[in-house]
Amino acid sequence: MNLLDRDVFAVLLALVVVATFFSLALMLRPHEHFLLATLLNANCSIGTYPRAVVNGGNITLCLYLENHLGEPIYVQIRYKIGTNETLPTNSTPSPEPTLKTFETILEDRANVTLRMVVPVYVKPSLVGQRIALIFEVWIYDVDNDSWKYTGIWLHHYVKVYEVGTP
Amino acid sequence: MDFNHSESYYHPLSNIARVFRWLRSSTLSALILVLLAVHLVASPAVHSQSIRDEILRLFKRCVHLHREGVDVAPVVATLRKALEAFDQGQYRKASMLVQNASAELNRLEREAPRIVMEKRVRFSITIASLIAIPIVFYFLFPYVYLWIWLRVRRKWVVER
Repeated sequence: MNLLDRDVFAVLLALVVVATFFSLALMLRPHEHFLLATLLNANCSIGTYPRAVVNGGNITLCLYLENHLGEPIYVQIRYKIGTNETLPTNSTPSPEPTLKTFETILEDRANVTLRMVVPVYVKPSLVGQRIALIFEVWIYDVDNDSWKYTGIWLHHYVKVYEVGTP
Repeated sequence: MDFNHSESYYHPLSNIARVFRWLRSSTLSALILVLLAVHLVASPAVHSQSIRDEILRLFKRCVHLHREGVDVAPVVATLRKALEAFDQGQYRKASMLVQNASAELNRLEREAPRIVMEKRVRFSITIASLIAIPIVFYFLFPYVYLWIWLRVRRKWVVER
């Protein structure tokens, strides 16, 4: 095959042009901005999450965070204990009080795994019932100098027992 | 006997004076100890709050610099380590990391115009090079192809 043949050369040139435009499109395309958050177990892996906890005890969980928001972020994880009625939504955080906070700073396109030891204590009326351990993701809004709820939250249901409860 | 000798001379009031001196010195020592204790108890809280505020201030500067187009990833990583050290109560380490981050950030801010310009020039050159590939291919490929063709066959012998 003679590569300098008029038709063959035209095909080669067409391939080069398409490859060039494809590369340009990849370089200039706008990046999708998102924040990834995943709840992991005490070994910082997926699966075998604790199902029961003693009232007043602690529970260990990990939280994986990946930043694709296009700039560094200062993240605050707010831990709350709630029920089905007090879960957060995409726009509003849970009305329950924050029991503990965890903070980290992440550069763009970086990830971090936070190990969190959180206390679990509930009212006696909730003992024996399923409660939600809520982890809300807040980020620091540099323009407004305040913490902003991202609309991202994670929750894990556990049953709470008193010591000595079978 | 020489009673006026300084080492053997004894006055009954000297004991009282010594007690007063001791009391004064012990009161002073106690006061110093109390002040030190107060300082030790109070200063980590004050110091820790200032570290935290400084981390936040540096973070804001990082974001502004990033928006200008400067790569601040190493500084942000140092700030994250400082925050981790702060959370673990290692205030000295956190303070040292904050100082490192601050120095690096100052350097980046000084060099920001040059870094941004370099980045823009590099980006423009990359885009221009990509656009130039088909044109270069169109003009140079026949020559390159012929050159390779001749090199591959340079040992060939033409027979009659």
